Amino acid sequence: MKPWSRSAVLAASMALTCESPAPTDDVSHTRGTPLGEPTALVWNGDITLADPKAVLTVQPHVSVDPRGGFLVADSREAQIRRYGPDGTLLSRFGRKGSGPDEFRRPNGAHRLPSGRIVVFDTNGKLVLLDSSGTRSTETQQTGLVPLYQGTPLNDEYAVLSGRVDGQAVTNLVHVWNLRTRQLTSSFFPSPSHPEALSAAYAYAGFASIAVRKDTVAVLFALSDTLRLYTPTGSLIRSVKIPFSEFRKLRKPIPMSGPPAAMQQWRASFSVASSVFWAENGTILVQWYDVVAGENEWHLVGFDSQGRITVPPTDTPKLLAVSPNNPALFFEHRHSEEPNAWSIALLHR
Amino acid sequence: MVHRSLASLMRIALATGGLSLVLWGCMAATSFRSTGAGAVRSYAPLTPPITAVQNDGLEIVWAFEVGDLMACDGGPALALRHLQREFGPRVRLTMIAIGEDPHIIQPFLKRERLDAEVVRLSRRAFVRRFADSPLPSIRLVQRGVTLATARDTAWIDGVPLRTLGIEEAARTFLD
Repeated sequence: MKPWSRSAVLAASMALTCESPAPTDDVSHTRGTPLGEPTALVWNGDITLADPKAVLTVQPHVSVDPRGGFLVADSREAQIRRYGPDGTLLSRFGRKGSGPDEFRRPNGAHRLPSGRIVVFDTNGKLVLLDSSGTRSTETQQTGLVPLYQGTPLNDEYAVLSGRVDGQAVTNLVHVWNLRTRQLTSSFFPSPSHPEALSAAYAYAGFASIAVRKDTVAVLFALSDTLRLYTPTGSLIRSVKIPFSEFRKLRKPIPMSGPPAAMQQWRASFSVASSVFWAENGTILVQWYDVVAGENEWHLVGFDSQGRITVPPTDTPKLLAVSPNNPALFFEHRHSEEPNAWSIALLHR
Repeated sequence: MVHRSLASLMRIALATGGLSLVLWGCMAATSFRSTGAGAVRSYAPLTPPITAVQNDGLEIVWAFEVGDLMACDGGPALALRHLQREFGPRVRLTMIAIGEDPHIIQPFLKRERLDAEVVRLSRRAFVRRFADSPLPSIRLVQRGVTLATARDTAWIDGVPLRTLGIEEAARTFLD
């Protein structure tokens, strides 16, 4: 466990840069816990997903189903599953492969307002399932490879994070029209970096996204700054993330050498892995450090002005955040079984 | 020494460190060939099994360079996981790791939910024992006899013909 320096956090939280004078009105309006005031993360029980004989949870990417329960894209099992609020398995779909109803490595499943379920696959494929999650109705190819992540804006648009045709230099965030099957906007290239780090940025530089109303939060893996955009790609503002400690990438990636050299390099910097938007407007950023080959996860919460709401803390990996209540779903605090989760609530 | 192009680095990125990415190839398409009656080879376990494989069970021996495991999109893990889950103690997985392990193998096993016995060999020791085996390779062994071997013709970039996957091949000996 890393010691948390409150003074360092507060100092870091002071840094806030505004690159655009046109913030949207929703990022500062919240309900529930007032922003900027300390918010506690209170553990509140566990949940275990059913693992009947034909199902094994290995690497779940989770979203909270607005109809209740969870949608899980298991990237290792190449399967999409729907669970009830108590972890009961309701349906499963898909298998490994490149054919119809098959996935390479799905990394997200989300329910659209219409009730259909949209699945994002790392190979750039986007699959629409019926509301029961048992039948595919449409497959689209986005041309983004890898497709890191996707999240729907509404029934018509989804925000995607990925690289166009696998290019090293490319915009990383895109808006995809689900009806016309076209990219309507692309923005957010990799932040500027020294030339010597270009390969490293191409290797480890992915973007994570979270959507709240008409604002897209974009987190770059190697950056300590969160950027808020409109869906058309206009920068609203940049927010310095109040990490307790974020080790920036400073070494070029070893282009040759034994595996140990690569592992040492991987352990030399922190990775900002994912961003979530909690029900009360708190922005949650998760980052990790590689220690002895394993990821050590950390979490911090703040408002759109960069003021800390959830002090930096070591947690298990955060899997999902409810958009409708203060529940956060983590990998289990004490179990290593991927189908066992711990629940926490954001409490004032 | 492992030399990397940017393309291969991108693939490694997809497989390591929880970057939630993917990579291509890497034993994803593996074809098995029966050794045939005239080519039966005996095989002695490298280590005494922790749990003895039942007589009708199968030992799956997966040999690989440790560095290549970093660039592997789980490789045959999904098939092996399914076999272990379905057949339990009738399937024993032995992983032969060639080279130093800077904290790669155990996180890999944990991530992939595989129960395996890991044997580390130097390349020299591996060649002494499995002279004709390319890396990576998978062999199916029953009662000390190698029944089939999989040779990965797809390491990273190739797209080979898929004749029989690991799971299907193993099932022919287990069902």
